[in-house]
Amino acid sequence: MLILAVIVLTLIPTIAILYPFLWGNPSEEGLVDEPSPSEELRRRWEAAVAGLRNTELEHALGNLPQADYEWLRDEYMTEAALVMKALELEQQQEEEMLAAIEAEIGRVREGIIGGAQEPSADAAQ
Amino acid sequence: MIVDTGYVALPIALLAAGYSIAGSFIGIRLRLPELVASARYALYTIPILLLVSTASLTYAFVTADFSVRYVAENSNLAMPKAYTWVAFYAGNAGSLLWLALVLSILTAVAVKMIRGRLPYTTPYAAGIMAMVLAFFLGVIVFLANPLERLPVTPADGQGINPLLVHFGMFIHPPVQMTGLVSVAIPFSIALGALVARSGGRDAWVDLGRTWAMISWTILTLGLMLGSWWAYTILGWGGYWAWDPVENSALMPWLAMTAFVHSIMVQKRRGMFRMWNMVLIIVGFTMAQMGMFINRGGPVPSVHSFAQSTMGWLFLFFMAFTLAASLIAFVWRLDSLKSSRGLDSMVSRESAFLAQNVLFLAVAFITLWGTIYPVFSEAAQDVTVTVGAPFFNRVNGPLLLALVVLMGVGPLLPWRRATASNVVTMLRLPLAAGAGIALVVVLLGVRQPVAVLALSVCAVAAAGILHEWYRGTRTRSRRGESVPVAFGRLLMANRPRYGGYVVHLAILMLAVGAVGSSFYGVQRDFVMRPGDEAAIDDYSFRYMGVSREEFSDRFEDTARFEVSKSDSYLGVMRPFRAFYHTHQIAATRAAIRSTPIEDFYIVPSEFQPDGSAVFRVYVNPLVWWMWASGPVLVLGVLLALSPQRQPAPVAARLPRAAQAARA
Repeated sequence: MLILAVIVLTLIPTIAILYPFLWGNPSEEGLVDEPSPSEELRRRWEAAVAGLRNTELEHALGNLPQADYEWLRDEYMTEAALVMKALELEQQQEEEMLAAIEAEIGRVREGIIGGAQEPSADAAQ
Repeated sequence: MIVDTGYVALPIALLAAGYSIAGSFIGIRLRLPELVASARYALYTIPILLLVSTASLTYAFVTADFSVRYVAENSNLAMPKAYTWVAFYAGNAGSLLWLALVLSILTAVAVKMIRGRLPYTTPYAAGIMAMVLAFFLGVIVFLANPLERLPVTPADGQGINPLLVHFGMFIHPPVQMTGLVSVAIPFSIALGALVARSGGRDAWVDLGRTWAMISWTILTLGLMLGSWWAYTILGWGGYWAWDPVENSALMPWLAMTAFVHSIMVQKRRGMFRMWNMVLIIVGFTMAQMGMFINRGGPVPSVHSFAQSTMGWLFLFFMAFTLAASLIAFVWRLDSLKSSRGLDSMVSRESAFLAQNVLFLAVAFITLWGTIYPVFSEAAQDVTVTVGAPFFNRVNGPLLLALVVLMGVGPLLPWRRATASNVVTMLRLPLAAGAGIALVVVLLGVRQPVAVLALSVCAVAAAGILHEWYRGTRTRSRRGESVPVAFGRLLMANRPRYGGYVVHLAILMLAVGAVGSSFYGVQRDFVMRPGDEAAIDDYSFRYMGVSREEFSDRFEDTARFEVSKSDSYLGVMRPFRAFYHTHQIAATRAAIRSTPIEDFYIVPSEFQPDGSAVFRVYVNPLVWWMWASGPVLVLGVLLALSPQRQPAPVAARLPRAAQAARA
């Protein structure tokens, strides 16, 4: 009985270890470097949008005076513009993305002063 | 047969961990995806194997199988079956098995979670996690196997350590051990990203932070439960003595607290990359230091129950991982350079930086105070004890400064705060701090440090409450009722407000610590049955003592009738037990706890005529310390709860980028 138990215990990792070699399809598992240039730009874009959301949030709560709010907003908008420039987008695409930012900011404002929409997790950090 | 099955599962688990290390690193190095996947699958099987061993040991306890050395050493026939759970980790070998089991489960879950988002980092992170796991399994298999048999089976076991026979022991040790070992997960993710050259690219930050938050929460709960256990069972009226084992749990907590804050700056601004890597390395090193001290380190402690002679092995492993981490850090230093600097010295980033420095300062001062006796003995052959006065004097002001930053930091905007902004934001909190200082002075609080500490807590609390008030008021003006507006405000910004709830819990903890440290009253009373005594507003009559015999101990239970300001409160029953087998006495205080203060009685040895010395304490505000635990958990759950992403602005980017390149 003990021998049977030992065999079963040994088989568990053995089958798991052999599985990718015999039946698995791991293809490119672990071989693709995640931080590609476009990923880096995406992260910079997200950070800029998150900064804008947060600035809007602080302003809506009354934590930021108008002058500071405008300065911070300009800073983040510049960063977003730089990312768009790096992406070499068409004029129409740039306008679409800027409109999306404005819509997002509007949603944050709604989230604070009341409304159905909620700002995203990033906004609050 | 069941015990033997568990015994065999341990070396198989060790082999699987060894394979996982080799497969992960060789597979990624030689670009063999099948080998990488195979190594990962091997890692997934380890929890199954360790669950078999755990079940076997549990079975041995339940069936009182004293042929198993560990069972014979940590239980006996008189032990209530419920304490099997405690006995499981009451000694070195069992607690190691617990650590390995928990780490294997966390590792499997973490690898499963990070694989999709960090495909290149995962093999490195999995290899590092497997390495830590292999260390524990190696120690278990070769040096401390809890399923090892005795040559001769005794008729009865030695019994569980009496100090562990307490409800708190069902939770505190496993939570504390889980907290210490769980630091390995964010450490492995960070170091894996570093080795994979992804450390400076911030892709790992979200998952690293999530796991760091989980680890931090478990460490915090472990510390709180440990303090509660010390307060209720050790019978000295306190909860924190700067004991080496307590310090060893506090040090990684401090480093991890700094990390979970600092990593937010990397996420938001791409800054502090080196700092964060250093913090997580320090956190993991200190967690290992904790295990070293707890497992037979050179520093004596009142409650290192899992002590053994293998502490130095843990020290060696700590030195190895620290050296390897630092080599990786230097090797990949160029990838950790931040693209940006501080825009202003008055901003949220700079508050985080100051906070990091303070946390690390407290951690290293605590480390120095903990290990100084060892250096002193080795260098000068003089035994020195570093006690609470040193730690309170040196760490106290730094902890106070941290509370100030906890209140001020979240009020500052990212990047830059102008003078007018700072004045606007801090006006009300500072006024609240001054008001509270005045109130507590009028109430009779005279110690300047206590007044300052309570005032600082008020500043931090007022900052949080004022923001909640403004947010709720703004929403309620749109027609929402106040509770609905408040609830929706919290739910709309969970990470931010979850963090604030955690801060409030820490403030509750601080208020409890200040109250009990500065205004606790303690007196010893020699009393015979029928005697009456008084302390503060309390009066109490000693009604007598009764003895109850058990097979392994006897318990002397005293009976007191207690009143406060002529109002009868009820009967309190402190007791003292003596365990024949361990030749050890254990006391249980009787505690009447309210948000205002605790009334606490603990007996010493009873004389044949029933007389005894009773130590009586009145500890103000301690209740708030224990109440802060659930609040803290609530805050963490709120902060980590998934939130609907309303408008995937960022998701448009790849599509736009693709379109642009097309």
